[in-house]
Amino acid sequence: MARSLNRRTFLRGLGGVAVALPALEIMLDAHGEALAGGGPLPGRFMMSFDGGALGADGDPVVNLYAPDTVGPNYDLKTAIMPLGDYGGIQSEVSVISGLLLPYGTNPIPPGGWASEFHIQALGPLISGMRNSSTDDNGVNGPTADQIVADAIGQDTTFRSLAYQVQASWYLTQSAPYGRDVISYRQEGGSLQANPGQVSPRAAYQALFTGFIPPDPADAGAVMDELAKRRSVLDRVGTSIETLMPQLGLADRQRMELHFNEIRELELRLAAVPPTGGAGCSMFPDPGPDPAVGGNNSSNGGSGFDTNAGWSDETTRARVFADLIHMAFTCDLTRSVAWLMTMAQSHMSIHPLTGIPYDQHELGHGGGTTQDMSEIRAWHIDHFAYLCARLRDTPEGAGSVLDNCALVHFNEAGHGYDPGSGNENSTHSTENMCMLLAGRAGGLQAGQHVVTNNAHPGQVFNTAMRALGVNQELGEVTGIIEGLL
Amino acid sequence: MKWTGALALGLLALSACKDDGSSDADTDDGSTGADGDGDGGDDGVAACDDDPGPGRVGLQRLTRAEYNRTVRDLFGVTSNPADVFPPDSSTAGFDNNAASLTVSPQLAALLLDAAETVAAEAMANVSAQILVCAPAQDELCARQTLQALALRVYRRPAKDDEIDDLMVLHQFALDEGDGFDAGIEYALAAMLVAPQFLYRSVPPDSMHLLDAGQVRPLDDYALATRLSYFLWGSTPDDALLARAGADDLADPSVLREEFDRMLADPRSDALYDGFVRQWLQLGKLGAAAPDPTLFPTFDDDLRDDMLAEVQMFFEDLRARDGSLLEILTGTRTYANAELAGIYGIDGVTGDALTVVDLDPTQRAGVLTMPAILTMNSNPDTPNIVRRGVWLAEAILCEEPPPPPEGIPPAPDPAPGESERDRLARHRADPSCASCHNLIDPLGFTFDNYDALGNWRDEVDGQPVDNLGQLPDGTEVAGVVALAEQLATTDQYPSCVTEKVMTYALGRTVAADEECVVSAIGSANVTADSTVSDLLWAVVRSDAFLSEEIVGN
Repeated sequence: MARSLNRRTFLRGLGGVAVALPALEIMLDAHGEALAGGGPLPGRFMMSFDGGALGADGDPVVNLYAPDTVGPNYDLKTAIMPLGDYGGIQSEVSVISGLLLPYGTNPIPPGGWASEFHIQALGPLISGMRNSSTDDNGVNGPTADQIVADAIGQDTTFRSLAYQVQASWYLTQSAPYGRDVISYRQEGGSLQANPGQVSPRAAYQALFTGFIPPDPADAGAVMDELAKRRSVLDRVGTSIETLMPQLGLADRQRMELHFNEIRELELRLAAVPPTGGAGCSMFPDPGPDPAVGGNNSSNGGSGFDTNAGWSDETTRARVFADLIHMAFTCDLTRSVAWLMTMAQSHMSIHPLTGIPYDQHELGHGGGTTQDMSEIRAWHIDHFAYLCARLRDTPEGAGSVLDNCALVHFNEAGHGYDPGSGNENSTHSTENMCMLLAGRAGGLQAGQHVVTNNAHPGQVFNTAMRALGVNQELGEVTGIIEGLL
Repeated sequence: MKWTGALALGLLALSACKDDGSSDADTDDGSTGADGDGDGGDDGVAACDDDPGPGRVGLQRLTRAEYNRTVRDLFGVTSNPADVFPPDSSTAGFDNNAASLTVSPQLAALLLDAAETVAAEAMANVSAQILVCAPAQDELCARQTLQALALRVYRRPAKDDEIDDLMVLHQFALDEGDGFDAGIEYALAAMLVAPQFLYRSVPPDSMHLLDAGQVRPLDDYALATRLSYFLWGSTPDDALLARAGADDLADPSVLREEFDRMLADPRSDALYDGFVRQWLQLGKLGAAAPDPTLFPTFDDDLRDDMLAEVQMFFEDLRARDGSLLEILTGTRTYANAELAGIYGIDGVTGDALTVVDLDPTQRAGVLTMPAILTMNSNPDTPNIVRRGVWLAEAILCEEPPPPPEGIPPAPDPAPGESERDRLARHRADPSCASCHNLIDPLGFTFDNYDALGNWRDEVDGQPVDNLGQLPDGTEVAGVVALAEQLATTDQYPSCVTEKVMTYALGRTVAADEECVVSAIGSANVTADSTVSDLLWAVVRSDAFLSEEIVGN
């Protein structure tokens, strides 16, 4: 059953007191191009991450990603082949090639990394801030999704959303050095990691809490249930506040975390999403999450366990794409960080192409640039699917995608690795490529732009500028010419 | 910290502790009452030079399994509502480690769902027990009902202000016209999302008013809780709570009575599900995939049988209260026709597992069980490194860290190259050698067992090469010899003690506790001591009975 959003409604407060929410209904102007109040249609930002390189170690084929032709109607090589599907979604997606995340130790360049690829390059890539020293492995500034959320995400139900497709690190212990996090928020004086929701089921339940069915009787029952749940949480929150002073410092910090989760849940239960276009509806429960697979027995080759290292990430990615689509359509959030695979991903790629390797080791002797590109295409297929759903959802005079700026990026390019001194290495940030989809703020869509070693952060800057967010990513200045 | 440094430090700490404490432990006959560890001296703990103190566990959230058992034991709810929670991650090999048991946004939402489900099921299952003063439905009765409930759900008496909080919800239900029973249900749901339920022991008093570093005995309710989650993986029952309420548990004889009663209770099966399965890393068997052409008998049934064998071995060991050395040296186990085939035993028929005696020249307790050998194998061949790592981690507590950044995997074999030669080539790389010099010689001793655990004397026409080496340099040929040697050293007793304590305390055992751990192990993991001796010694340790206050 599809529930559409109730456009104006009541929530009863504790003890049966009726509380009228302010009317938040958004009315379009006569032309359908802006709000009746004069503001523009909301922009949306998304960044999706593929924790793999564009080519294989030792393979002279640099990549099968960058098209040969420049401008519109670019040619589709293996990695971006899915852009030819979905009714020509290529015309909505630009390819930016020739990108370089700079590196060097004396000095470390602005927005660049020192020499240890997997440990040091991710921070500058997502934050635009260089490693602070040759020993620094950290992330030193907020990421684009959080900069956008601070600018345009304050009034939505969710300030931002973070989702994670790859369900496990697939080696013993957990992902080291934050290889599973691409979103960081500057809060007060400190930088907070913002890890993604791994469970599609939990993400679904969190997103659609607060949807009110159109039938008045159903709506009443849902309202009663919401009121009850809020009052339960309210009591728990009060109880925790009482307990808090009784605890030592470490326990108090843990309890504060618990308290914050309870309060946030309570707020979400109280908040009815403000509006949505005609396409805003609750889709059926995706059911239980696919089982989380076991750890890899080896990195690849003859001893590789083809049943491990995989949690049906294809299905997980599809549910998350549907959730992002609806979160944007219903204006529940305006910024999403979507980690498809972790940096240095050890997800098995056997279910995708039949090669008994994990994604990372495929590049280190297990496969060719052609093999690698087929894995890039798996990621880009999910990106293309999401773009197509947003394109096919009307909003105002156009589509939701017309108000989006969506970025897809990789952990690595393919080229020189300063750590090992090798050419044609996967541990390289030379020859990187990214995708930018949507037409927010007049973005030129469907183009192939070749840059002369532009910083990947300039693609993020371009997306932010398109959304009216006039801020640079870390130390990276300027945008990609020709797209805005 | 560099991984080589971490490893060296760990070994150093262990051997340093042995130097200090082992001679004391040898002379401790357990009769002295003033051995300096503050517990009456009956756990065999010798005075260790540096008293490490009991350590601080921190708030310890219930694991998924503990949550399921707890609502089962409280309210007869058997639907395992915590199965939908995100998996608990492990620290130091166990998922009940307080360090990793936090509350994430997705868990918060699921906890609320589960609480509502459990509260509704509880009211359906056992409302007669819950509604203690029915049919009276006044405010006094509501308070009494919630007090009785809170004692069981919070594992300690609720304070007045905690009941006041819950009464607000009860009143809410009355105001909504939902009725008295619904009010109890809503309040119960709130209790089930509250920290007092979700964390093992939320202190009722103000911890931070005490001095940092101060050590105090656990109060009786907290002790009852630690004991029941150790032995049962679940909440204290009414009898244990009554003992706690009477302040009886400080009396060692009362504590022992409860300990014996709880070990005899079927709920102590959780020691296997909670402790043994994690200790021996049996979850890895689920991912094992023996090659069907080489091993046509392997299927999911055989996988289950392999696990059943381990479980029955431990059930038998506990039922007889045998020695923990049997894990290394036992030759009595359980097999059905297919497992007997792997063991090379004739005359066992059918699917049901039955007692069998193994050839003591070929088999050594758990170490040579098909479950262990299969889960540490490639689909076609034994995996020497994985078998060595397993032995190092589970039996010796020598934790090799995962391979470091930038280190290539072991090379593929050259044509005609033996596995031993291939790994020797790998160890020639100094960055690999420091760990693999430990791991590989342990793994080599398993050469007599193929990828499913069948005994073999030859590999590809060549005699097996089972010569290996213990971390102390002792050379051994084969697992049987290795196990016999291990049974004479302190390392295995220390290690199994460390594992039990890690699980019992829900925290990582610190380096400065190695001396205490080693002393408990030496005294309680011997041919003459039993499983319950070790469990009791852990319960009687300072670390278990008391807690350290951490300041602000």
